[in-house]
Amino acid sequence: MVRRAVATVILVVLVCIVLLPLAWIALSSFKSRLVLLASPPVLLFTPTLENYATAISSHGLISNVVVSTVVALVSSLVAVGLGYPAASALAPMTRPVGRHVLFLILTTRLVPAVALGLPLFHLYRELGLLDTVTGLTLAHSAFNLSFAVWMLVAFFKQLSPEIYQAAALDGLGPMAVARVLARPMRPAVLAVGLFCAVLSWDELFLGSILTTSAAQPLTVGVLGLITSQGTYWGQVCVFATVSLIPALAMGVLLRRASGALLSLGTLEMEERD
Amino acid sequence: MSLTVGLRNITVRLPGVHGKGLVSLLNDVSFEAPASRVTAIVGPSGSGKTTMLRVVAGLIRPTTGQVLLGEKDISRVPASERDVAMAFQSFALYPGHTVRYNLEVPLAARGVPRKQRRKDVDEMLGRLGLDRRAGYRIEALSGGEQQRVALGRALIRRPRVLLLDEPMSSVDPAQRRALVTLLRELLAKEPKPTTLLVTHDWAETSALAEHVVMIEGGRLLQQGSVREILYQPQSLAVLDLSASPFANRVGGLERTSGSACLLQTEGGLSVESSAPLDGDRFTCAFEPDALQTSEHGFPARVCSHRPVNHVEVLEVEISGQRLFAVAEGSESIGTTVRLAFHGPGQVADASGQVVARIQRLWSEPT
Repeated sequence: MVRRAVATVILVVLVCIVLLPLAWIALSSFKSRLVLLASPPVLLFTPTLENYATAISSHGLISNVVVSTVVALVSSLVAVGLGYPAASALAPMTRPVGRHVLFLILTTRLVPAVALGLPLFHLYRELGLLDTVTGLTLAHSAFNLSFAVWMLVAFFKQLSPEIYQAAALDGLGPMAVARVLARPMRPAVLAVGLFCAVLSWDELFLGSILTTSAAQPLTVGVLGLITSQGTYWGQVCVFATVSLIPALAMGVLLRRASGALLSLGTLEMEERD
Repeated sequence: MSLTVGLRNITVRLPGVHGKGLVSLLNDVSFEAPASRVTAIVGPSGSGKTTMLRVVAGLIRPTTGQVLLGEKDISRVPASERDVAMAFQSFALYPGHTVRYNLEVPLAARGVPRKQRRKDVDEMLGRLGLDRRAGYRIEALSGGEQQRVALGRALIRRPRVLLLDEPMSSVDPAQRRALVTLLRELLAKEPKPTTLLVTHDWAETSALAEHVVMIEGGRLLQQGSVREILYQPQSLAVLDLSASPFANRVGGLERTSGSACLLQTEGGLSVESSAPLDGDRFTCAFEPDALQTSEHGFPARVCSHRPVNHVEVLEVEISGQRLFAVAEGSESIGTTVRLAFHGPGQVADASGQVVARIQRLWSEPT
């Protein structure tokens, strides 16, 4: 009993340590400029939407949110849509060629982003894709794809390999197998899709290289608030708060999905006496 | 239309743990399963039974040797094009889907029209006794029901070759009886598939199979009809695979100086073999029902008794040997009964090869 209480206290303290900065940022987004920069920090103040108004009117908050949302949604859909059949075909491969292909896919993530960012910049300039939502979506899709394939392969491997063998004997081709397995794999697909969306939502480096204004996502928009004249701290807090909301929502969804994921590996043995 | 299934000099070697060395799973195995019949592949755990099935199915490519379907070498034909169906030991049903869907997949994959598919599935559901489960998800079924779906999925497309991997391993005795009946029905339906049944259970073999292939340690021990295996076993290993829990093994038999056919234990148990023997140490093997109570028999002391399948199995002591025999009624512990050897029984040499039958067995009172 005592140990439980101690554990609870420790957990609450840890949660506070993690959440306090986030809460502070959210709180600060409602402070006026004077209150925000006051030292020592002020806890009690009259909330104002002033920062939100200027973020929308002069810093393009709405357009940034739209870009981030579209890019996150489309790139994760593309990554999962292409990654799912690829993973379904790669997972049961026992011959070395399967492992080689998987490793090749992994190498795209081993290369530092800088090394890919600059060639991509030149390529995009030639193709006229710089500062376009299409261009950013394409780049995010490519980066998410390798991640999606690896995650999904791990989930597919939780299924008994005999299911693949049964499917082969039943006469199913690789695409048909992927279709048949879509139902048990649904929670995994959902989880990987969410992960991809979070990764895209949080991505900064490619965004900062490939976009300048029109196709700026939120993360890049924040950078624009740090200027040579000074930093718009109020607006920074607004951007941070807005970008937190979907991230938190996806976190909650992921937690829900993980329950279904845990049971994926036990599908086989369930209900057998 | 059914064809024989043959393995010719099949050897399977796979890389060992951490890729070190090669593990030999099958060693130069050859056999032929007669067309439209059930052939049991019997062997202890880890003997390579399932590997043999997988080689026939095309799920494992043999290191050397050929897989034959009729006269045709199908060693290079991929699994999906072999017209071979398999019921897996783990069932390997499609998770998250209904019973109906699972049965429909092999038909849909072969382009059977929707209407015909429905008809076939309904018919199969009826045979399996799963009419009321058609819309259930696989996960909601009991082990016995999943087993039946697995059999149905393998049979529904009427394959020329059917592979059954330990179909009885996960059902209780009552379900097992029902499953044996069901399998006999399903397999008797024309066109009869050429069936390979992997099992380690002799009761299952004698209930379902006509032809038997015995293997151990990746090597073929013996093949033949159920009758041949039972009455003309070639080695103790084969006997062990078909033996009852009470089977007798008398070791330490030595040839007496007088005759090439006369064997004796140190205690004084004597055996006369059907043929003259070479060598010096022998083992003889026989089931309890080869040794029965008889007025004119030799004496034996009763150590315990228990009813088994409506006969009384006695554990008796004869010349220092504990043996199992069969009595008509129950006998009290400690009394002396008279036993006579009726056969059959086998004499094996030191290498385990059966070299003769037991002609007579008796005990010399000391």
